[in-house]
Amino acid sequence: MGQSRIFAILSTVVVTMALIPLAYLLWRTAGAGTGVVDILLDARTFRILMNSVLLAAIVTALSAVIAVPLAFFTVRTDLPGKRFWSIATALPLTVPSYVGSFIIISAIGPKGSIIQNLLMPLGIERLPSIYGLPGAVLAMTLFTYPYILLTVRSSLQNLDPALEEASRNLGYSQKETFFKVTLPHLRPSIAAGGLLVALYTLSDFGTPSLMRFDSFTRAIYIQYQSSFDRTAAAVLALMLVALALTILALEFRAMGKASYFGSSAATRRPPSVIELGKWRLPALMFTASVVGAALVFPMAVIGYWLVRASFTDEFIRGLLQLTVNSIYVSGLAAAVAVLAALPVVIYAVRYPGRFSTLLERMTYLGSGLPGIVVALSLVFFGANFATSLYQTISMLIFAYVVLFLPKAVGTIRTSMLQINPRLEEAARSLGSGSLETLQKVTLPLVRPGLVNGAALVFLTTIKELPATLILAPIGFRTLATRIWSATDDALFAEAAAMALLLILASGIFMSIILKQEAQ
Amino acid sequence: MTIIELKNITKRYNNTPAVENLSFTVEEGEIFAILGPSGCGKTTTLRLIAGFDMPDDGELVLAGKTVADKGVFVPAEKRKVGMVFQDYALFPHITVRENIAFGLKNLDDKEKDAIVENMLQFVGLSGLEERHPFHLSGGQQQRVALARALAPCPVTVLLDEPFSNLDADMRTQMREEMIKILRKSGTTAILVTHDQEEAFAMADRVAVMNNGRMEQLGTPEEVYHYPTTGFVADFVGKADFIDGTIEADGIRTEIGLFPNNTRLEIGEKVQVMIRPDDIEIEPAGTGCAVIKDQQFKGSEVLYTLELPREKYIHSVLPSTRTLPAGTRVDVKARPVHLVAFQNGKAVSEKS
Repeated sequence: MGQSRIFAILSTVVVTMALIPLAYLLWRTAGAGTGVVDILLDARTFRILMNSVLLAAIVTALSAVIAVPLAFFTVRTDLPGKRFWSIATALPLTVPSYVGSFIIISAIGPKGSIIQNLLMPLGIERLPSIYGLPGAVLAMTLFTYPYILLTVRSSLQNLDPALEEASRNLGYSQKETFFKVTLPHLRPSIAAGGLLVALYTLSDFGTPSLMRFDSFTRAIYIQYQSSFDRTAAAVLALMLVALALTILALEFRAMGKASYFGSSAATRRPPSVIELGKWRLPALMFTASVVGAALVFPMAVIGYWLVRASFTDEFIRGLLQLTVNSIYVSGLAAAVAVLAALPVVIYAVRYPGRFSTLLERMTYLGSGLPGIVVALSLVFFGANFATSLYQTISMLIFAYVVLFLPKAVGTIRTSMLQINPRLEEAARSLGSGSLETLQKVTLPLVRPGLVNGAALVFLTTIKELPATLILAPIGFRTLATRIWSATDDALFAEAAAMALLLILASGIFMSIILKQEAQ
Repeated sequence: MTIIELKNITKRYNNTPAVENLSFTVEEGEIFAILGPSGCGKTTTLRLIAGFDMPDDGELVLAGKTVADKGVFVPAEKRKVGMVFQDYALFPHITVRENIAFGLKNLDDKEKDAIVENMLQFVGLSGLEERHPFHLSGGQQQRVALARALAPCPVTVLLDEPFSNLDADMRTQMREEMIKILRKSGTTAILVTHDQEEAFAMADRVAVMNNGRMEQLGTPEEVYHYPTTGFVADFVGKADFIDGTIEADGIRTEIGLFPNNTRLEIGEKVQVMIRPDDIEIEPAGTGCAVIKDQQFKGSEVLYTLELPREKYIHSVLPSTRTLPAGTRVDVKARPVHLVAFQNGKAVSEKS
C-alpha cells in the first residue's frame, strides 16, 4: 500500500469524525418533522435571531472604530512608545469573554460590585443594570477588537510604499492619498477582521449567558436545560450554524481578497512614517484609554478582589484541583488535535489533489461551529448511540478536537508549506524509504509547527466554556466553568482568583509559542 | 529648453552619502539614462527629482522652477513629475481605467474618459480597461504604469528600472515600444538602469554613476568608445587592460605597438583598454598567446587568451570557425578607438 493511500485513509477517518456533530444535528432536526417549522416561525425565534445579529453588528462596528485608528497609529505614525502600544493593544485578546464579563459585572454591576460597594455609604443599594445588550456589547467589544487590529496592522505593514508614492506623484496630498489609496487597500483586511469579530460574537457563550442577553447561544443553553423536548435547541443550533458558516464563507472570500492586495514588491521597503504633529496628544490619549479600559482596568479589578479576599484552605486546595483539571484536559486535547491534524496536512500538502484539498477544507468547517452547538449535538449523540462514552473525559476531548482541529491544521500547514519538497526528494534519492523520510526529514522539520499547533489548541481549550460545561463528567470542573458559575453567583473574589490562575496558565503557554516563533 | 537641472545635489542616509555633488541638466524631449551598479545612487537621484526625498544640499530646478533648495521644498504631488515604478505600483483595488485616470484631477468625467481612451490606444491596451491590475501580464502592467504616468501630461517621466521585472524576450519588445511611445509624445524622460545595453538602446545621453558620484556623462557612443575612467570602461562592456609604455614610435605593449594619442612623456607607463571585438587571432605555431578557454555563444565565440606575462585578454570572433583550447595563436589588436589610462583616468585625446 502506497504512502499516499495511508494518508488518504487516515485523513478520511479524521474528517469523518470531525463531521459527526454537524451531521447528527442535521439528521436529528430533519427527523423532528413539522415541529421544526413551528419553531422556525415562532416569534421568539425571530427575536433571538434579531438579538444575535444586532449584537454582532454593533460589536463589529465598534471594534472597527477602535481598531483601525489604533492600527494606523501603531504602524504608520511617530506615536511615542509605539512598540509598547503595539503589544499592549493586542493583549486584550487573551482575556476570555466570560472573564471580561466577570470583570465588568463585578466592577459596575448593580449589586455587590466595586462601584456599588463604594457608593454603599451614600445609601445606594442598587446601581442601574448593565445586563442585556449594553453589557454584552461592552464586554465583547473590549476584548475582541484586536482581531481587526491584527489583520489591519499586517495589511498596513504589507502595503507597498510605492503605491502611496505613486499617488503623491500623481498630484494627491498625504491626506487625499490616505483616503484614495491607503484606506481602500485596508478595506479587505477590515472586512476579514470584522467577520472574525462577528463570528466570535455569534458563537460566544460566556458573555451572553453572564450578561443575560438572549442571543442564540444563551437561548440554546436555556432550551437544553429546561425542557425534555430538545428539538427546539437543535433547531436554534442549526440556525446559528447556518449564520456562522455564512460568515465563515464570507471570511474566506475576504481573506483571499486581502492576500490579492498584498505587496508583490520584490524590493521591500518599510512603510513610511507619518508625523502626527498636533494630533500626537489626541492619538496618544485615544490609544492609552483603549489600553486602560481593556487591559489596565481588568487587572485592577482582579487585583481589587484578590486584595480584599481571604480564602479558606479548602478553597485553595480546590483551586489547585481546578488548575490541574484545566491543564489535564487542555493538554490531552492539544496532543490529540495535533495527531489528528498531521495526516490531514501531510496528505493535503504533499499529495495535492481534489480529494485531499476537499478533506483539508472540511476540517475548517469546525471553526464555524460554535462550542455550544458541538456540545449539544454530542450530548444527543452520546445519549443515543454511545452511552458508554456519554459524560466521560473522552467525549469532552472529542468535542475539543472537533472545535479546535482547524487551529492545529492551520498552524501545521503553514509550517509544512515552508519545507521544500526537494528535501524529501533528496532523502529518497539518498536511499530513505517513504516512512523513513517522514520520520527523519519531514517530522523534525515540521516540529516547530507541531509545537505551535499544540500550544495554540492548549490555549484555546483552557479558555473553552460551553462544551466543558455541558460535556464534562459530573463533578469534573475546570477553571473556566468555575469562573462562570462563581460570577453568576456573585462570588467575585473567588472568580478573581481563578481568573488570575487561568491568565497565568495561558500566559506561560503563550510565551512558549512566542519563543518558538522567535527561533 | 532645460527641463531638469541638478546643481551640486547631495543626499546622505545616516551620514553616508548616497548621492554626492551631482550636477546635470536634461533638455526637453531628451531621453536621459542614469547607469550604474546597484547602490550607486541612481534610484536615490530619481527619488530626489520626484520629491520623495529631500536633498541635504544643492538645488533642483524643474521646468524653470526651483523645487528644492535651501528652505525650498515642493512636495511630490505639486511637481508634475510622472513616475513608472520598478514594481509598477498599480493600485490593486481599482481597474485599469481608474488607475490611468487617477492623476487626472479637476477634469469632468467626459474629459477624463477621452484622455483615458486616448492613452489606452496609445499604449495598446484598448479592451482591458475594466480589468484589475492583477489580471494583467507583466508587460501589460508595465504599459498601464506608463499610461498612468503620462496621462496628466507631466513635465517629465521617471523610469525606475522599468524592465527588470520582465522576461528577457519581453524586455527587448517593451523597450522598443516604450521608446516609440516616449518619442511620439515628445516626453522628457529619465531612465534608471544597471543594464548598459538598455541605457545605450534607449537614451540620447547616458550618465554613468558609481558610489554616489557621476563618473561620465555623454552619448552612448562616447561612453562606450571613450570611457573617461577605468570604472566606466569596465562597466559599459567587457574590457581588458594591457600594460604599455610610451615610446618614440607609439605605445609599446605585449601584443604590439599602438599609435600614441596621449600627451605623455616617453617612458611613462599606461594601461591600454582593449575590447574583445578589437582582438583578432590566427593559429600560428610561433604565436605569442595560447587559447586557455573558449565559450561558444551562438553567433560568436568568446576566447580567453593567455599572454606570456601571465595576463589574460579576451577575443570575440564569429562562430563560423572555432579553435580548440590549447591552440597557439598570433594576436592582432585593431582598436578603432584607442584609449589609454593612467591611474584609472583616461589620458588619450579624442580623435
